[in-house]
Amino acid sequence: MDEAADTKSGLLWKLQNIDRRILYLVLLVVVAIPVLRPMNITNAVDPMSEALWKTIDATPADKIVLVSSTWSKATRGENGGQTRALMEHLMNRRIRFALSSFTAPGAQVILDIVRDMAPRYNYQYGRDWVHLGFQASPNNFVKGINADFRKTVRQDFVEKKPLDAFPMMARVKSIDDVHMVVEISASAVHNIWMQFIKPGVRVGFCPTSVMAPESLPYYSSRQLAGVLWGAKGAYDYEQLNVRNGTGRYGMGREYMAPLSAAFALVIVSITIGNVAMFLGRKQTRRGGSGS
Amino acid sequence: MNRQDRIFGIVGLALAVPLAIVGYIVFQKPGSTAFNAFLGGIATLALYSLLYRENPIYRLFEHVYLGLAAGYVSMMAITSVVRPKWYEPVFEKGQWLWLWALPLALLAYFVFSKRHGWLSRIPLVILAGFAAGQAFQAFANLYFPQIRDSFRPVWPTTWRLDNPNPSPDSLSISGALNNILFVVTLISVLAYFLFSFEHKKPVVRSTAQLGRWLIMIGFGAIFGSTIMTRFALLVDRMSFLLVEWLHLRGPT
Repeated sequence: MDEAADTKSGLLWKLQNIDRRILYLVLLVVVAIPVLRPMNITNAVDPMSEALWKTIDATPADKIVLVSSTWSKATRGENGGQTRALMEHLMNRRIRFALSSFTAPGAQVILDIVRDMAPRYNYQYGRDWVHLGFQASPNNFVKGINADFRKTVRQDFVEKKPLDAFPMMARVKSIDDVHMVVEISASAVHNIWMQFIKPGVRVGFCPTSVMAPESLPYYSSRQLAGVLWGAKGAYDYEQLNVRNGTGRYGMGREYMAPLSAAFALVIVSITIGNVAMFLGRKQTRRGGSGS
Repeated sequence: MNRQDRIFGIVGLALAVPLAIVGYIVFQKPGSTAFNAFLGGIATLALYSLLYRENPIYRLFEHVYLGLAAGYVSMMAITSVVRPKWYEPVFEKGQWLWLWALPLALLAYFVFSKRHGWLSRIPLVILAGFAAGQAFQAFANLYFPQIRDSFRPVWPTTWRLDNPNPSPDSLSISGALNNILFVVTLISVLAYFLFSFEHKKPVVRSTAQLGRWLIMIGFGAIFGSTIMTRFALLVDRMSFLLVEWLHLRGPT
């Protein structure tokens, strides 16, 4: 081990070995300030987000959008903002939609959001939207609704009634009556839709940032009609909503400033640590203590 | 559990229990979610105490969370799957043929028996059969379009730097450059994964080396995205604690 690393009182050594708890504290302060004092961060809308917005906006009046929610409160920071922005768009444009989920918590989190937003837009359950509920077998659900919604989903999630009991489902018989499917997810569930959905039905994907890179090849090959990349995607979608009069700003814009502050802290920390390491090595080569 | 842990645990519980009781008295009102938010705030702080050090309060709330999640998922399985998809068709609509599904599914629990463990393989084999049957369709629909998309034109059809109205028939200079970059990346990364022969020839070796570098750049970008997710979750929790829980921010 070199001499500089041994000299634990040296400044350069200290800069490379800051107690993680101090870094956590600095991070909390750096994030808390823009959370308490919101500020606007300029943003360039990604073409992938715009593609999703345009595809949803082009939904014909006689078709519905199927929104699948496969996330939980754990990823609310990204999927929550995406869901709200998407719902603002659907409700403002009076597009009817059905909800479903491949996980148990996913069915509840989207229900809470829609119930919170629906009164503002006079969106009535059964007339403008229905909830198909938690679907335990994703493959079989997708293959089932390709042919027949009613045989696949025996009752809705909220009122536990057959689908025929709801006016908006009167014209929805099979997947041909669905303009597009949008999967909001913290995992790679979009694969199931691409694998089994009837050809011709568009699929949109709203992943967390960690899942977004692996979905890009599918957007490039047009298997996905659009992708919302995590929290940035939520901000993109809000911006498109505001620009086109189909919604307003929300979590997406609110979270962008704290996120940027946190990224800046990481970049500064990495720079300080690396500069200290290079200077320490240089001093060691010269025979110094690295302090 | 050492002495410090015991003190940490006792002090934490001594604070958390009266806080929960006071919170219930203050916040619990019909139709209000204030008490839920109050409990959520306590749970968030307890779980974040791990950032300081491992402690019994963190472990207590971790187990509470696991218990809640297991209970919730079990209940959803009963109300959203077993009841509407099996119980009601069999016992309320008289579709008795579906009765066989329950004993077949219950065979899976023989996995806990040394003597009859082989029975648990029967439902597994049936599920594996379903999966195998669907695998070809899944593979074809997922990857064939990918293979088709990997054949891209690299010669521009219009000598403009960028095409404001891109169409399948027109390729600008920047579009052609993107496609060249794509094709070079594809070939070099595939070359890196050619393990059937030794990379002796300079062309193969340098192409594979380039592929390795490009993979590393890709991993770096993916890691950056991972950090973005983690920080977004932190920002959300901070927003929950400071805005929804403590109401430290006024209307914006």
